[in-house]
Amino acid sequence: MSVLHQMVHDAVVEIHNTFNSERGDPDLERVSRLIVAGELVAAVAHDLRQPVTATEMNVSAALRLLTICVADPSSARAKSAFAEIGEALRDALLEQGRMRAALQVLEDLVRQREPVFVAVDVVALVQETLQLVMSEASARRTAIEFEIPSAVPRIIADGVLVRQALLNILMNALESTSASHSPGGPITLAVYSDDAAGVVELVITHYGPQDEVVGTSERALALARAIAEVHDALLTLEGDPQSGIAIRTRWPIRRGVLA
Amino acid sequence: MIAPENNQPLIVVIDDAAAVCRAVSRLLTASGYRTATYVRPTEYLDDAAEMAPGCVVADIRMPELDGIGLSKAMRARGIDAPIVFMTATGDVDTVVRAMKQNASDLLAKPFTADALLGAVTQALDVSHRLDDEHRALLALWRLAGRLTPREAEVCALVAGGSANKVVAARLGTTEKTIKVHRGRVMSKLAATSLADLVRMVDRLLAAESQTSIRLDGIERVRPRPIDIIVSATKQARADSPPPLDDRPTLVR
Repeated sequence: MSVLHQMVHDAVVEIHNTFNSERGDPDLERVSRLIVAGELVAAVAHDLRQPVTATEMNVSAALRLLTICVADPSSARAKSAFAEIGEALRDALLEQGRMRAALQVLEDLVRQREPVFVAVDVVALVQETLQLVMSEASARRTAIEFEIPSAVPRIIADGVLVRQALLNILMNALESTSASHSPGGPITLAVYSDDAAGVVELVITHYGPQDEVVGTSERALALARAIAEVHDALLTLEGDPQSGIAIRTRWPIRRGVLA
Repeated sequence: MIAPENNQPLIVVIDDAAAVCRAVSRLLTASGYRTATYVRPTEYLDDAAEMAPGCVVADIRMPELDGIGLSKAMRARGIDAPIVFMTATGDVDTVVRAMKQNASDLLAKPFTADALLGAVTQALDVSHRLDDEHRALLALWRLAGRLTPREAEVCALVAGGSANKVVAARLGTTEKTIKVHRGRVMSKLAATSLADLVRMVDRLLAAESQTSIRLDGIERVRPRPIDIIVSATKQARADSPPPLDDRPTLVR
């Protein structure tokens, strides 16, 4: 059994064991995190397959081109081949970076640790998170439209936890919308800066069964809500048949603003 | 970029993951093939009329138009190039849908260079075989295209097993006239015997749904006399299906 499969297996066992736990259960955060990890294993595996394929192709091409160089090193063809080998290896290195990033996401998700509050660039964090879910969205044929201003104030937060909360909300939106619509979506994500209130607001809207607003979505969003609470942030759900389900999170620019 | 020989087969690579698209193309080029790459399948379809690929290597899941849709759009444009699908998901539903589209092969990402090159070689074999079949059919179309409408009718009825006098009665003319038409049909089609003629008409009927052939990037439309042969054969069968014993015996 691979590490990822073991992780999913462990998550399922823990979910069964603690499904009825109260929200104050100290294991909730980790279990919820494992749920997200389980949901994301497929997405991350997809993200890994692409760079692994590209790396295999690039390195194999480089090896083939090398035989041309060895056969007649001074020929014009060999010069072109040398240049191409350089390109192939540079691309392979880029892909290796993508693989490392995908693995880092998994590690961050399952690691249990104390929150570390630092200044976090929300725009970069949102873009990075969108990148993670895009392949899953594509697989589910769901469009994600986003509206992100070029700059918003940094927030004092634990970037890993905020990313987990965002992932949790987006994965829930993806599941909910693709279950009720085929192809699903669109999901919209908007970032606003409310300077007067000293908060940065993230609004994710999607269509889905309305009963999920108070049902399954509440449980699925438990991790996001728990993370919001750690940051003195607010998470609210609004359901509307016309505009869909809006999940609004308001993150204080400085800790304690909304407390 | 290493430039392959111009006579090498062209392989079209389509994947919305640009890095994979580039890497697959690079391997194929390093292996001696000519390639054209697209990250959007619709862009390939826009260019398709100008190209004659030996095969297409395409990702099966793309946001704008997936591999299955691409395959259907290619067929609708008369492009018969075999398709090697790539998939990063490999679920049963995807495999089944790909196979229903007559995928030449389905490669689960990540795949090895050998697997890709093997699949491409196999697809090119299929492509060559299809090309040979198309060339043979096109040659037959050219011959049959020389028939007059009346000769096309006579050709269909004679190949259907009707005697000259039956054909004459059906077309409202004399047996002598039919004999003259029949002689011209045999000559124009370069048929050496009645059995040869029957085989030719059977081949035309087998490709009845094919109204054009795309070969070497050029589209050839089926000549009108073949439409007449097809409709006259159908009409004759509908009017009086001949007993099997009356059909000329094929000598192979």
